[in-house]
Amino acid sequence: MEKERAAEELSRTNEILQSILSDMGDAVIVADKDENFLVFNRAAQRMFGAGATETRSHEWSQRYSLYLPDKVTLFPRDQLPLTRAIRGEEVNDLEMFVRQKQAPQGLWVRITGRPVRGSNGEVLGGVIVCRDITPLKEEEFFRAGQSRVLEMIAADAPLADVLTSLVLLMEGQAEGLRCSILLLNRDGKHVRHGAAPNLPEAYVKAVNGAPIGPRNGSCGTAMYMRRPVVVSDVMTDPLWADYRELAKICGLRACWSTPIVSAQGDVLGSFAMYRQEKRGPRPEENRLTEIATHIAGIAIERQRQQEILREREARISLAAESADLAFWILYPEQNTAWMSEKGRLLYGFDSNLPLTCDLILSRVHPDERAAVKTAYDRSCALYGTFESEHRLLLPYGKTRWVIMRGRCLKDEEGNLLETIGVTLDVSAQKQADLQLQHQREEMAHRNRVSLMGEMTASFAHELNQPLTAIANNASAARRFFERGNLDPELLQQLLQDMVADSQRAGEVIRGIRSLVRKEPSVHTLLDLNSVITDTVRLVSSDVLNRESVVTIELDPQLPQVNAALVQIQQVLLNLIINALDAVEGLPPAERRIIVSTRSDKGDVAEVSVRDFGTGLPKDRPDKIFDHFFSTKQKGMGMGLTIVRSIVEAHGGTIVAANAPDRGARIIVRLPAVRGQAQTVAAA
Amino acid sequence: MSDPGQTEGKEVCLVDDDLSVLKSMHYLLASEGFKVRTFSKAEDFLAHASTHDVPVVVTDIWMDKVTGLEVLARLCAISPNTRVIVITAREDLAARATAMAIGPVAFFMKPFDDEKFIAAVRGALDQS
Repeated sequence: MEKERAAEELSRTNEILQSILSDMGDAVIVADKDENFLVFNRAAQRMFGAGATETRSHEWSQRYSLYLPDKVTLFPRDQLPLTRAIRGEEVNDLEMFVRQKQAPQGLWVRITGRPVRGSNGEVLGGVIVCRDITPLKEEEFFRAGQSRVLEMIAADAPLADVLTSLVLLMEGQAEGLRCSILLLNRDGKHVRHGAAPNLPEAYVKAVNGAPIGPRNGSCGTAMYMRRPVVVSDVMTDPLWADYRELAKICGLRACWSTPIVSAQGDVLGSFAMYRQEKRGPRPEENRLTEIATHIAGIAIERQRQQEILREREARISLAAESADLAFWILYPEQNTAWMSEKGRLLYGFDSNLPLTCDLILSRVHPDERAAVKTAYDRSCALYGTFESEHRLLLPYGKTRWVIMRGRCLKDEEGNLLETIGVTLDVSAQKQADLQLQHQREEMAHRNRVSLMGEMTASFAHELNQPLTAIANNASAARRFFERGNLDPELLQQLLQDMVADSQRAGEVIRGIRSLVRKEPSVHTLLDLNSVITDTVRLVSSDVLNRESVVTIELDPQLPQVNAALVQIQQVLLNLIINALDAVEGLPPAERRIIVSTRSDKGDVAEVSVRDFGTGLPKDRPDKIFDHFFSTKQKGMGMGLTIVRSIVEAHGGTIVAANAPDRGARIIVRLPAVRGQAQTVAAA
Repeated sequence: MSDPGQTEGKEVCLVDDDLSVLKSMHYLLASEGFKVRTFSKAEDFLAHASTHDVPVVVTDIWMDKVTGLEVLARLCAISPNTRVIVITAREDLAARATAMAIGPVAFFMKPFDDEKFIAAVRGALDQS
């Protein structure tokens, strides 16, 4: 009775167990030591496509289509989880790929196995529990696929490759799904092919270049309306009227399209799903569309931005190259820099040398480096722009003259982010300028030397006066001394006078030297009235020698000018000596010259030298400023040319005209220094 | 050498618009015991000569306002007996010839030999 009840209970327990085994979703397989299947539940039959058979483990992989995760290698017999469990091993979370008739796409299975032991612990067989993890695996692969596409975008892969990978990824997610991406041209009106690796070529070609609009298929309409367009049956939908025949030929029946929109809300293109049967999208397909449009948006937008950048850079580079400009960007915070090829050539940097701000600065000539750096810092801080003309000292000691111009970009807080600018090589121009200036200086110097020749009498007089006084004083001192009546006070007086006269002689010599010396001219504030007075006094002896009279008529209100003293003296001397030459042939009483000054509205200081000679050539009075024009026997014809170049270098003008009654008048106008008008109390 | 005492009392006039030259010549002649009267303007001297007896005048030939030649010409009219010694800082042969034609007793280029100059002044005084 007892026994019977126990057997009945066991049988009942067995029934419950069988019921659980047959209803559970996980596959359970039990085999004895001799590889006979004891349990092979319903889930196991579904999962492996067949029930328990008489086969032994060396046939299992073949029989039940068991593969390693590479999907191609049959699972080796000794690694099969059931054989391992029968061997007495524990198997945890082993993954297996199963491809059988009922599941041609294959299944992913995760397996746990344990040995079955008797009461003494001996192994009687093995049990495995298998779980279908295909959806998990697919999601994992899909995510990995998305990551791969995003990595391609990040690595700046060509847009066509990125979009093709994206389309293939999406198509892999559902059976019979075909996808395409179209791009909207920047005109916002026409589409062009983006990616459609599995659509018929004829269809792709027909769509490329088509306009968008309110009735232009699924994609053209979606881009135009800026919203998803679902066409479940292209054969009947009015939107497809124009494309129906094409769709028929290509075997496309349903098309659902969604616009791809940028972060700023601009339509960039569309992502479409095609099916060969008529139907609308399922939720999982809508989810795919959402992911696809998002990723495609990122890819297209990034490519557009880079296109814009490249275009901008190309345009600037083109402009820079054609203008012979070196183009550069400095990032002072990071101490890095970029330079166009032309710039690298100019600065003597190899094409692939990484540049820094310091490296570029190091090319500036050492004499000017500190000044350029200070000017850069100051100018950027104060004005946001920078301009400098300086020399570069290149490797091997080569020097170039350049002009550097830059503009600073700052963030909201005013921190300097970068300076963008250009460098222009002005060496050739500078060389020519320097040469010309040198020639001009050389000519001006010769002119001054020849002026000296015209003024020997004046210089002799100027020197002889103090020398005479010195000689007389010395002689007087000796005589007083010889007579024994040299009063110490008198001696002191004589010596003092001698010293004063020596200094006076020294001044005269210095004056001559400054006119003859070759020295860069220094501009200072000058009062032309006193320069004229001094200069006329300098030539006074020659004026007397020539039995002529120079009268000066000065405007006490004459404003000051910014000029080089020696050069202005040179101008005056040339004009006065020319005037003296002009009156030479006249009777002494008529040998008159008037040097006068006049202030013109306070803007201009005007000097006029007027003679009463025979006047200038009537047809073209200003011919006298031409090179080698001379009416004089001994003249070189360079004096007035030099005078004009000096006046013009001072920003002034010079004109020559015949005076109404007789003689010539030369008028020099120099720009006045504002606010410096002389304040001389009217007498 | 003549006795300096003989020349005392007789006044030598000096005309030069260069004050330091004028002063130095004054000292030079004073060191030899000459009585000297100086003029920095030719007009002042001519005015003086028209009212005083001027035995000797030493004058520069080129001055700012009136040339030495004019002085000579006008002096001839005012005081024909005045002995004239011309000093000049310039070498100008034409002027020298003109001056000599008007009749100065001596002509000196600045700077000059002091002995010869003093001898000339003394000689002129003696002749006056």
